[in-house]
Amino acid sequence: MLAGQPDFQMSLCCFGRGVPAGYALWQYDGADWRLKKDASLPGARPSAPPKVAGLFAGQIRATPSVVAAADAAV
Amino acid sequence: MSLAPPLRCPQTCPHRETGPHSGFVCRLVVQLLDTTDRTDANVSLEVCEACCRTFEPTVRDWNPVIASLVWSAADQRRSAPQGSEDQARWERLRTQAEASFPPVLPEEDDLPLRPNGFTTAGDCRTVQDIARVLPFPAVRSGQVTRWAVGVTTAPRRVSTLMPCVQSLLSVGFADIHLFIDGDVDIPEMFHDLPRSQQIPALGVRQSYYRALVKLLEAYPDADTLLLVQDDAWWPPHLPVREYLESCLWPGSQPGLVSAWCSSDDTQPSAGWFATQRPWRFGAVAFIYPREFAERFIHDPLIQQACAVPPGTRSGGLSMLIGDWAARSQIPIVFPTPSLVQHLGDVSTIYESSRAVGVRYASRFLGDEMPA
Repeated sequence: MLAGQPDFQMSLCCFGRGVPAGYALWQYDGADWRLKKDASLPGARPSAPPKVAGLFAGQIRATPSVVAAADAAV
Repeated sequence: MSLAPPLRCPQTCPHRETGPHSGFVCRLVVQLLDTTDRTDANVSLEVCEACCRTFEPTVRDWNPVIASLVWSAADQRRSAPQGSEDQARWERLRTQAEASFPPVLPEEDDLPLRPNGFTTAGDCRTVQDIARVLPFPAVRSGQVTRWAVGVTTAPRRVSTLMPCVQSLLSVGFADIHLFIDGDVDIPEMFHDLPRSQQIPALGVRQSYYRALVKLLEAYPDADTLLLVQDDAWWPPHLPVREYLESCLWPGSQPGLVSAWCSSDDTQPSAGWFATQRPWRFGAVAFIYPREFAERFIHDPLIQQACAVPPGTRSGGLSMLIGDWAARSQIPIVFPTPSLVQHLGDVSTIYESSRAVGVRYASRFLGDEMPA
């Protein structure tokens, strides 16, 4: 992220699924997905990693970020 | 004949070429990265299979697989000196790659299988599969390093250009240069292909000659020239380019290779054969070693025969090539079964000529290895 903004607004390319809270990039290492870039907007965080297995080491996938839940009251 | 998008398959991908250490390189990624270091374009079979699941990428439209490769390369190079032209370029590439990743929910797939996408290795034939029908030549000399590929086309009453070029792309040839003689409607899907056009039309001999001259000029690194007439149909599900790279050049010395074999030239058994008489039946798809293409265009008799006034009906191209090769003692080698079929039911040269008899391949690889 640059100055709190995503580097690129991906909503134009997302085939209808918006990224109002930003996005995250994940890279497959052959076994698991690793967070490669956090482009979440302030107040948001990356989603869970992709559940669909990668097809090759080095593959990158984007997921929309999610709004972070408020801290539970104590 | 189906004109549906051909099955995508690593073995027939036009962007895939042999790389170092028996690996493969993606030429599209090489083009996008525009560096001399091609290591970032090295691709494994898994990468190619993943890419073939989805839409065919272009310079303008990157599927997520191409985007992954470009993003990784650009991300690694972000350490270029601040403010440098290089850094700005890598940032642009990285940004464009990010724009090509469609955000999907964690449980969704961003590479869903397309109708013509690759599913399993069993869907695609290999070079070895072809060799079981058309054996490799027993003796080879030299090798192919780089192709230059051209298609000559002229106005036809019944156009065959689309199936010709589509099939040529499908068997693994890319960067096809169109040589257009006269006013021809080029399908929109081919608008990005390089082209040379002559208006008014020059005629078949002159346009063929000029196409060879242009291929030699425009592709100085090419050691192998393939010049195809627009009524040639290649078996679109077979890795013919890769197969040819395992065959060229058949025989103890390089010669001309015709990928086409007419019914009259068909041999009793399958294999590669050197013609025992001057070539007569079809200039449908000739492959030239660079040296021989240069000899052809500089031959005084060829220059004279091709210097016909524009618009003059000129035929006999295959005999012209055949006589030149015989006179120059250059062997012409051809396969049985033919690697291409002749589509030209309506000839551009001969009013009532049809693609039957000598203008037809009685044995065609595509028929003997159906999809």
